[in-house]
Amino acid sequence: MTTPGTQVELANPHTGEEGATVGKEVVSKSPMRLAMERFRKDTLSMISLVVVVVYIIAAASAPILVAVGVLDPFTYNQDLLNEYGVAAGPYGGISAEHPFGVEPRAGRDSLARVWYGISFSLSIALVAALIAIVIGVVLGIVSGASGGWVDAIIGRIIDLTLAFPQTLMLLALSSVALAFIIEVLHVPGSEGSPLPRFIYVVGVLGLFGWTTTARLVRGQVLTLREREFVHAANLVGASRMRVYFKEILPNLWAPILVSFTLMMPAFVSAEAAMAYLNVSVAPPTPTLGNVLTDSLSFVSSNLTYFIIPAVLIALVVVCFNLLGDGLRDALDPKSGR
Amino acid sequence: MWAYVVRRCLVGVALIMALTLITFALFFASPVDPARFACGKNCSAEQRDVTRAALGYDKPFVVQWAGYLKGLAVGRDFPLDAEQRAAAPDQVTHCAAPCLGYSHLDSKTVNEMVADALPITASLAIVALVMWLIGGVLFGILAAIHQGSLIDRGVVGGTLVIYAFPSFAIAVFLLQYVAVKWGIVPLPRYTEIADGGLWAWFSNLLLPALTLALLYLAGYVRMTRAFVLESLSEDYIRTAKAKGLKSRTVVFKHALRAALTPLVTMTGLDFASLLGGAIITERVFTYHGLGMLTVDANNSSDLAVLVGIVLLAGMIVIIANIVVDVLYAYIDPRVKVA
Repeated sequence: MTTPGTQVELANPHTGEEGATVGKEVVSKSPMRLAMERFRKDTLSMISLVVVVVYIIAAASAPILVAVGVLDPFTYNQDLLNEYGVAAGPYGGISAEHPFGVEPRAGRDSLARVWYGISFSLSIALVAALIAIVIGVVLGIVSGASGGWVDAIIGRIIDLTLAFPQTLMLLALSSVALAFIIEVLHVPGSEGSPLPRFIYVVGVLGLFGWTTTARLVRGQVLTLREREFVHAANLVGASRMRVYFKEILPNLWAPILVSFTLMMPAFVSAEAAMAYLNVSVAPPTPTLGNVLTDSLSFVSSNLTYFIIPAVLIALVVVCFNLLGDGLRDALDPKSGR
Repeated sequence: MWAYVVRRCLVGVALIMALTLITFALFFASPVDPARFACGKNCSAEQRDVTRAALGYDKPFVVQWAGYLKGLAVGRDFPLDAEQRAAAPDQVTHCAAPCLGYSHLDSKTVNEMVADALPITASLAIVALVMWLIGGVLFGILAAIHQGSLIDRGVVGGTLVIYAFPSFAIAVFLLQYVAVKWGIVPLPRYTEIADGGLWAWFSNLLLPALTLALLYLAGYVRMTRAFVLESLSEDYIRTAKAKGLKSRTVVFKHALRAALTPLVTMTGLDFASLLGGAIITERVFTYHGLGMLTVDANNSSDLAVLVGIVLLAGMIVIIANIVVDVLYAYIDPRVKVA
């Protein structure tokens, strides 16, 4: 396999931005290393990366902390509420024991709810993004590399998929699809198991969200397929599958990574919107979306409870977006914003 | 040019047929019995059979699809079963072309329901469109001419942050604080122009349209900024500056023009797919437009209405795509139509 990532870039001693002067050792840097350097210099992207990593750690640790009993997102603490069912005490009942306060009506610990909610929201976004990426990459490569009528058909499939507004489909399909998941696929859905709705949200987001990736990948493949190493592979008689997935695919990791990073925030937002329309994973299982939705009834009486999940969603969406932009700028310096 | 338009339209018709086929497959090809939703709760087995026959759900889904296409083209009579029509001729409802379906739960054609809801969503969409276009272009230009400065970062960052908050959270906040608590604007309630005049119509649309516009603003700011920046470094801008034009003229008449074609494309497509965003906005402000109709239909699992709305939305997108492509070829002579 030939990867252009191994070609050596020499810093020009006269005009090179690396500042290598004549006499000094000439440093050779791979495009990867140059990209890493560009990325590290970009403060905003680095901050975003840190925030995203914190979110991922939080998401990964929440189930463990809940299992161990450190976080308790399900116990009712109604003794902490006043006669209106809202947390007693200022700022949504913030205390040492409940640093984010307690939720109205049930009095469950807000910190535990949102922390565990991050876990569910991010896993929904992650699984949906993986589905969308796989579909988008496979169709993009096949479309770009084959050309001709295959390309035309895939192009029309993309047009068709784009004709279904995602939010609308998520809402409209829910009755039939949930019945299908529970009754035909026999996914256990009784007693508040979040699984059927999880499968539903992930499925619809994935099946309707792959189009941009497919278009992006197709565009890249159109240039890659004229490269020497692809011609060489074709000449030595490599199978089509081998050319697609062993020769072309490894050269696409940069655009795939960028589109994955930009897909995550879109899906976190979509999950929240779905929770508002009651088709996402439902309480008692927390997601950032359904905690925020629950807080809407208390916007005027308990602003803290509303602001916390809203800001947590906004923060992760902003940071994933900035990270995606940063990665794109670092990996493809010509793209310029 | 005309050959191009005709060809695009033919492809559009094929896409609409494929769209209805896929929608039918999604809703009716699964083993889940659609009649049970259409019949409502507390429905006996016989009633369910009657409903199934009345709506044609007993036929294979390809036949249902063909029937639906026929309804779109020439209209249909409900119930679909000839025996039921013969038994109760006074209860036959004619659904004129383009027939989007018949809601058994509401005993109305989907066309009637859509006709009631469409003006509300259209009003919302138009006001929102004007807001985000003006806002997007002005802020985009502002950011571009101050590239790299605090203003630039503030505009781009600010719109990104607004975009990042879920739109229903923004909507509820606007409703609860701006309208209810602070009383800056009256509580939004949809008023027709015929009832309250232009101002009443507009002022009631202010908050819902703003919510919808904020959802799209960030994208338009970024795009305008990118294209204006690109064209600001072109030679013809330098020429325009050198010959002493006012900077306002340079920016609005010369630099902005480069951003016009992508803006038209993006606007056309976003406007067509607005329905998705309108669902949330309409639900928060209880505006009984198409979005609310979808929410209600979903709550009662009224598949006929849902299918009708999905197809309507899809057709709008497909038609908008064609219009945009043709406009594109018209605005930009470099686009090859062959």
